[in-house]
Amino acid sequence: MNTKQRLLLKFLEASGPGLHGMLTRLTLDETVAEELMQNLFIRLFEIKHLEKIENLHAYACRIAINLAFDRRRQHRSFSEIPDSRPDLRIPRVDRRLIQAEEIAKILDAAQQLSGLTRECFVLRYIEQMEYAEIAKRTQKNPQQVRALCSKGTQRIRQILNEQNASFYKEAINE
Amino acid sequence: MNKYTEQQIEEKLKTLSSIEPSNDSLRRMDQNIRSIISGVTKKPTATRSFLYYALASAAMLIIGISLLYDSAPPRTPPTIVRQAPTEPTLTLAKLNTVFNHGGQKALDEYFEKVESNRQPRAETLTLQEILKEL
Repeated sequence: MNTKQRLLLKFLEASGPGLHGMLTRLTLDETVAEELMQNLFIRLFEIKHLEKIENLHAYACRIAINLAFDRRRQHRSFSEIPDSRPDLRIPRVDRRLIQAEEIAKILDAAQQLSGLTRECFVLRYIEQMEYAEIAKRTQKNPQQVRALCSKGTQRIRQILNEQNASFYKEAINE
Repeated sequence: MNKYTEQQIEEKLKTLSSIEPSNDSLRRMDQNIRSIISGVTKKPTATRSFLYYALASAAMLIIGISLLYDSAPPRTPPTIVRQAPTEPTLTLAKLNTVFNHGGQKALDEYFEKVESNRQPRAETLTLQEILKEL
């Protein structure tokens, strides 16, 4: 086993579960998350000088977020979670309403954010990380991260309200 | 008409943050990735470069041309061999006979005889000589 393989195994042990959790939340599907994790590690494996990357976790996290949103764009229909899924432990009973309607809409809207804004938005509101931690990862200061997160939320709010408005307009016309 | 607020969006996403993959899924993921890293599972091959295709087509072209030449070798016109008319030959047996019957003098006579009997080449005959023979 060479240096790169050892490095990746170590990384898998340290960050694998966390990344898998994040991908499950972003895709709302465990199987898809597993597939994306494999794609992520294949990409990491293909990097020539992997050992030279300073913050491998942050780097992998960025790739994972992009993979999840790319997948979301390609397969729009997968955002609904079947009610019978026992694995996803959401504390509310009205799982279907929350997930299929609201969360999927928010995640769909998040696709339209630019790379860094989306990364900060996901890390802050889905991964529930502190601004300081996100700042460290993205090599920005906490104020910049806060501004990016706020910008992301405003943009998503705007997109959702526009969608709502057009929905009601169509309903009235009908 | 319901309008979303930033607060609502944050709260909804907070609900999402409680989703965790199952232990089975984590185990499967771990096994799959370990096999990818250790090389048990075949990784997708990288797309072939332009250079690869250029070299492959050049090699095929060369092979094609060489096969074409091998199957139809260049034709050379057949060479015409002109055979000289037969002349009396001096064999060892004849030479022995000559020496037995008189030596050098007899040999000279023999050569004179051969010379006198020698048939002229066809190329050297004139038209009149040919007509005379006919």
